[in-house]
Amino acid sequence: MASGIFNVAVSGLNVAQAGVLTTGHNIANASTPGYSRQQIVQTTNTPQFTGAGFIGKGANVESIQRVYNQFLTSQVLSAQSGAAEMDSYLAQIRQIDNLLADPSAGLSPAMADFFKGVQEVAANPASLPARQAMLSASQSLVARFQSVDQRLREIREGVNSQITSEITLINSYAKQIADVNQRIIVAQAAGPTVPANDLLDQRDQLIAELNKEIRVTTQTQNDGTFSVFIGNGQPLVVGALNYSLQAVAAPDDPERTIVALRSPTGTTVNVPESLLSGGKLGGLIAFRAESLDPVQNGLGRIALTLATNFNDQHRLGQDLTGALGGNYFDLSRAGPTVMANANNAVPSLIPAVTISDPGALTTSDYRLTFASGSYTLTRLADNTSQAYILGSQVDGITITAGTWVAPAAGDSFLIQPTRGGAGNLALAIADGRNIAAAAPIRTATALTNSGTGTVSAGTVNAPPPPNANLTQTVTITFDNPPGTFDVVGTGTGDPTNVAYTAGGDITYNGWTIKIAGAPAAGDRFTVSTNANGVSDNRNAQLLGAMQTQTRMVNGTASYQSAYSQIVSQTGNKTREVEVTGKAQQTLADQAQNEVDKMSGVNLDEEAANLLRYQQAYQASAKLIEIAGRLFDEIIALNR
Amino acid sequence: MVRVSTSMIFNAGVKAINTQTATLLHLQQQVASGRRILTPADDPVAAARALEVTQAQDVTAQYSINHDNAKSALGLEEVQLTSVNNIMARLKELTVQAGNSTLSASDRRGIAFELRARFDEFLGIANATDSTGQFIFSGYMGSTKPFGASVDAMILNPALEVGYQGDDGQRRLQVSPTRFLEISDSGNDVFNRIKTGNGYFATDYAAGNTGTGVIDAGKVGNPALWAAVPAAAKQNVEVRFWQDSGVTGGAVIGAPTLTAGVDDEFMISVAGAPAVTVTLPAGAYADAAALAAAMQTAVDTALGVSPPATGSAVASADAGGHMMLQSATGQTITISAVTGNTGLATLFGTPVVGSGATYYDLVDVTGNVSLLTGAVPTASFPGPTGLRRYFDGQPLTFNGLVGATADYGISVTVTGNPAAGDRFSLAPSTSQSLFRTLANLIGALEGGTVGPGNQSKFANEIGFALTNLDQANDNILRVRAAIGSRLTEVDSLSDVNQDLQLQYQQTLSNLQDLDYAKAISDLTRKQTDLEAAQKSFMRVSQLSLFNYL
Repeated sequence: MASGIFNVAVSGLNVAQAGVLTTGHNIANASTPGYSRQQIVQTTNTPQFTGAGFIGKGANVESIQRVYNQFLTSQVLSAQSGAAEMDSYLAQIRQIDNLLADPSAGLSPAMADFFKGVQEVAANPASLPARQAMLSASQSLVARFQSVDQRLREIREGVNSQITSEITLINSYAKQIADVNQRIIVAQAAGPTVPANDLLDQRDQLIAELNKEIRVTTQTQNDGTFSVFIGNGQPLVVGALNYSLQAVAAPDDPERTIVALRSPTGTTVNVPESLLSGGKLGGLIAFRAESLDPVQNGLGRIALTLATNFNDQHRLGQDLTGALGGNYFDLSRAGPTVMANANNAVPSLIPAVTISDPGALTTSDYRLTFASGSYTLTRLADNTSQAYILGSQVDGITITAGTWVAPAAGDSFLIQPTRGGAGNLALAIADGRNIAAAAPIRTATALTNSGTGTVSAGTVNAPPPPNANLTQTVTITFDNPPGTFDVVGTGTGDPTNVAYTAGGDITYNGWTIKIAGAPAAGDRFTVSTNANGVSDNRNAQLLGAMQTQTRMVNGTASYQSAYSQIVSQTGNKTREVEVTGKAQQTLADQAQNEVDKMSGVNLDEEAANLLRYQQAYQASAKLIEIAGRLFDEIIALNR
Repeated sequence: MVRVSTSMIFNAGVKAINTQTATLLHLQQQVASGRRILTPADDPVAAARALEVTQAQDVTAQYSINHDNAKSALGLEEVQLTSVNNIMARLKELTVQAGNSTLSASDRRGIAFELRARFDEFLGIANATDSTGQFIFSGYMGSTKPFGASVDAMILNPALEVGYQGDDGQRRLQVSPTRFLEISDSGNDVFNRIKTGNGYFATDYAAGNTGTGVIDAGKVGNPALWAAVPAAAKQNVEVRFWQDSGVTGGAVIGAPTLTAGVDDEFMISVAGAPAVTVTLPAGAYADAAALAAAMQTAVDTALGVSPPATGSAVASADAGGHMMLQSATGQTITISAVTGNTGLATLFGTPVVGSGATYYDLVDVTGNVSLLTGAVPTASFPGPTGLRRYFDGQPLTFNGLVGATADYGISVTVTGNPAAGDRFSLAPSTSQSLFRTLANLIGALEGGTVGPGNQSKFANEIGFALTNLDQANDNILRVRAAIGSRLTEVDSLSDVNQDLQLQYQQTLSNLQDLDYAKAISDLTRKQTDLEAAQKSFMRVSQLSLFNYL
């Protein structure tokens, strides 16, 4: 009987001790990340049947359970992954946002200064200081294009190296999860009813951390292990086996680090970027494709278009030495880049790509592929493909065979029309006298004219190169009656009796003049070379007027508005990412709160439990004392 | 029952404080910088718009600079041309003074001396430079000195024009998105391209004129009619004078045979001088022309002088076979028969003695046709048929003509007494430089004015000089008017620009600038919020049951 009481007391003591231990464990881990509070599952021992009924035999601890809800945890995972993606996206795009934000560092003030320099030359075409000032402003515009582009390159390199370190981190998590899986198999050998609580928590925490790097899906196996997948089912951990990710250079763009999956057997497959969403890695990859590429290409597009347009107009002018203008900007290295896929039949052969219409350029990159005898051009920004015929113009670029004379099926090339535009821009002239501020022709009205005919200053027809006979002297003499005129001069074919329309265009040798009024018979007008025309600013005026002309995006945007489009796109994207990130974070916080509400440790509660188990322990100890005293009473009876 | 874990209390507290601090930092940055948009993400639309407005503002500012440049260039040109006009007033004064017939040759040389100085002064103005050393009136060729001339060379060679090295270019500046304002005028336009005469045609006198006729610049009463005259028909028109002072034969002379003592003699008296006898060689004459030649020799012998000296006579026969005798210098000639000789009837039929009146013909020299008779003009015969009577100072109108053009729409006025055979020409106006006009005037002044013919030529020259100086003055005034209207345009554009600048400034301010009142009130509120979050967190986090164990 007494032994029964002892047994009951000891079972109480054990249970209370287990309770205190568990409570202590909870208190100790109150701030351990991913820890789920544990509680003992206490049941009564099987009672002893007597005639009077069942006599209880005390209590025991059936198991120690963690308070855990799989559903809530998976909600946290999903929200966390989104929040982490936005977080990493935001950290990257903020760099561009800040770069563009600075009113003195952006492209805008440099461009304004540049055109101001042009206007200064237009105001003082013969002034060497004004010309020097324009050159300096041009230098700083080029330098600004280069420095902004350089900063974007640095960001790109940063993204590449972060992708590499993300992959290292992901691989390390994957390995740890595989390890924990292994330990859980061992620990839960007795069966899932005896859960290895702390290991499970540890694995959940590892998955939560991994999920912040890249979105994963998990699947519980019969043996209690988790399989972890990325993308749409690419395995990362299967049981105790872990796959690994690898950072490799893209086959057609060595500057682009992409992700490859390496199985335990050693085979490697490139993972398409569209599958790598969520988490920091997803954020980095999305940032690169959605923001960095368009911004860098957009900047290059402005540089290319501005420089090409400027060169074209500059070549129609005449410089201070009397020579026709040359190129103002050096675009020899700023043109489109073409990169052969490393898997091409002969990777050293590449097609030639030229910009045939700078006004029609987009900010996208392109991929040209050859299969079953036909070419396909894919615009990567919106992933639209079209059949392509070599030599035709698409989005302002024209592709010809170049050295790629024998295309092999499967050959593909990455074409970046505008990527290098800003970074490789340079100035082609170094002497202010070579700025072509004047027009190469002048018109004159003979002093002997008796009619009222006046001749316009004349313009040089676009596009370059200028007509070979542009500066030849051409004389227009009105016939009698003066309804027609004769033209004499090299290159004109000397037409006679050309009908005269007052104010109409008269075009020969690559120039256009207008004669208005009523010329009399015998009146003469001449067009000749503008020798010594140092005070002429007609070409500088035309160069300066380009500032406000809409020459980009198919004639819908000026250079400045193309730039402000970049600013606005970046600003909008930053804002979008910021707002989405906040929403995701709120979702994650709420989900985490739900988890914490259930699984988190409340110290007050634990304090109460501690008191409860302490008192139960004291009571059980008292029971032993009473049982002992009862036993003493029995002994005392024998004395 | 809501269960709360201890970590939730800490997490929530820290999160609240973080959020508040971030907001506070953003507000503080806004207040410190005065900018509402710190990065484009704060307001992407406004940030992009601000860039475009900034460009518009820059461009407008550039136009303002160009306005100042244009004003200074135009002002400089205006100053130069004002002094040209001022000198021109003095020139007219001098020219009128020089025309005074009482002046001696040395007085005129004195005036010519001053005119030479003015000539050089004009040359200086035409070669003026701006503040950067660029020549103002050389068109595009700012570094090329435009004008070069010497009075002496120009007097020596009347066809020589002033040398102009510039071109016709007009420098321009962009003063608004669409307006390229002219800020210079070429020397050609200002000093060279000046119409001669009245702007439609210029008059001139023939070098051989002997009368005292002085022609004015003429008037165009109907420019449309003048314009409609074919170019060839008006290229060279002359007013030719003829004096009806001779004798005209009344009958046709066929092929006469003169018999000595019967019909070979007649008496002639020129300008009331005593009559002398003219004797022609007897014999047969082939026609009237042959007779006229013989008569000329006989008349010269009788008068003892050679034409065209005063007192001589000119004998001729017209196409119709009439004999004519006329004083070479417009005096009246009378003839009479020698007693017992019937020569007068054989030679002249019934002679008709002229009235002494002066007539004029209008001749299209190029077409060699009289505009009044439609026939080939003769030197002075066949008399006044179809010609018009000349009255001193009465306009000679070019209407009622017989050719293809009945009315030239113009008139000229000749004053004085033109001698028979005097001619004045009309030709469409051409361009003549101010320098050429001055050189002509100086040449006339220095050339002396002896004799009635020279005196009238001098008067003509003074008249031409006055006309052409007026034209030059008008041309300078025209250029100045253009400069004035450009300056006005720049002024009004400047006003518009200032308004625009203000507008852009305001737009930019609305887009970028911080509303301080709101920002500071927000800052204070957020500060309070943060303090509340901090205090409440301290309170809540201190609550623990363990405090009581």
